Amino acid sequence: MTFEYKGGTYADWQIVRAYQTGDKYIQQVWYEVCRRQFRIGASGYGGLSDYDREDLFQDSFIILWEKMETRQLHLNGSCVFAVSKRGDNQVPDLLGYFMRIVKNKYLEMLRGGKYVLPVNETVTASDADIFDELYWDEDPEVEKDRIVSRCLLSLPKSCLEILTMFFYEKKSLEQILAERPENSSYDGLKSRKSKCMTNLKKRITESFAKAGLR
Amino acid sequence: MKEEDIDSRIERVVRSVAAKRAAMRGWEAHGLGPEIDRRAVCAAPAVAAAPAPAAAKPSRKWRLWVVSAAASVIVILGVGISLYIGRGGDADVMPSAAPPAVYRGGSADIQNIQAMIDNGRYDEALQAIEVTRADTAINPSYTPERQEYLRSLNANRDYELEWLRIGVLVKSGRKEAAVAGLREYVKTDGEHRHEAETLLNELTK
Repeated sequence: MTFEYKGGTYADWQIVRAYQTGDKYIQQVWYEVCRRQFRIGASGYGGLSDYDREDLFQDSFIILWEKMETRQLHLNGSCVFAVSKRGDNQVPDLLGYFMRIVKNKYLEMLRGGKYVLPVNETVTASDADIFDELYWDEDPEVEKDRIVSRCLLSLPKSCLEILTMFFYEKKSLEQILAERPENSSYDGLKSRKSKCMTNLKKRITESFAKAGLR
Repeated sequence: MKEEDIDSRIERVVRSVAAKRAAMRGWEAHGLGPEIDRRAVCAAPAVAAAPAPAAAKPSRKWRLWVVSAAASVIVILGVGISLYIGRGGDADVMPSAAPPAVYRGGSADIQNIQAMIDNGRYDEALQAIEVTRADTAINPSYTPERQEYLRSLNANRDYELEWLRIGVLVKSGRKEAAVAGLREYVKTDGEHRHEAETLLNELTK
């Protein structure tokens, strides 16, 4: 599948290549394509606030990005393939593939029980199959990273924010406390971070066990 | 599984996810603009798996009109990009007459960098220069001639940015780094060569 933007024509393989090689321009073009398609395709997904809808898009995009980075989506000539349990499957339409990720992430959010299931949405067995298919990798190290990423993205937003400030922005707890007025004290923040990590590790351990990983 | 392994894996994944989110925030803040045409075409065989374009090597032979033309394009693009960044919301449409952006991926144009320098924001200017110099992505679907032309523009821009960088180093008192930069810079025959040689002589008196 290809699309045009500002006089240039882009094919799916170019998108995958861009995310594997760090071509920022094409990465941003693809981001905007996905953003637009998400607005159209996910407009009927009920039970979500605007904030949750934004999370849905961002988390889904990160999942696709990681699949391209870790070669779960890879190239064979000019064709895009996805690694699956039953062997590699060609992906004829990368944007459609992205929207499947969105759909499955949405179903995961609903299955989490946090959202009221709209009357027009049901989780079927076939949805669950698609879900597992999109989230599997033969390489146990890649699979472990994917599980950690998935567990991370399922944490409460405050946990993700604290862990991001600590590990990515490399801020001390004092600096985080200064920037997060919702944390009333240093001890409170320290305790919150510790609980976030404990919660995250518990989810990861359970997911590893379920996936047969150690 | 050892606790340390989980901890280091968590830390690595947190950084990876956070870096992606930061990139996405940047794209939201500096959108590419108007509606995107998505058109399905026939199968992929027509699109060859072309290798990434080779890194540009700056030409050693400068002609004044090439540098002047490049500087003019840079100014035009700077105005175009500043108008583009100033837009708000999806309803805004970039004028169709505006030239395509050469600078992509969050880099600053030379006018913005000069403004940072004029306001004494030297560290910020140095960072912006480095980001802009690294931002050399060229659309691989362009014709080879256009790609070569854009590579040439990138090289010209790099020459100008290095001159700016040296100027910032001098202004911020980083003499040794400025001298090191100048020693390399004067090896290239370009518009600023004479000035660079004069400056190098002054700094090494």
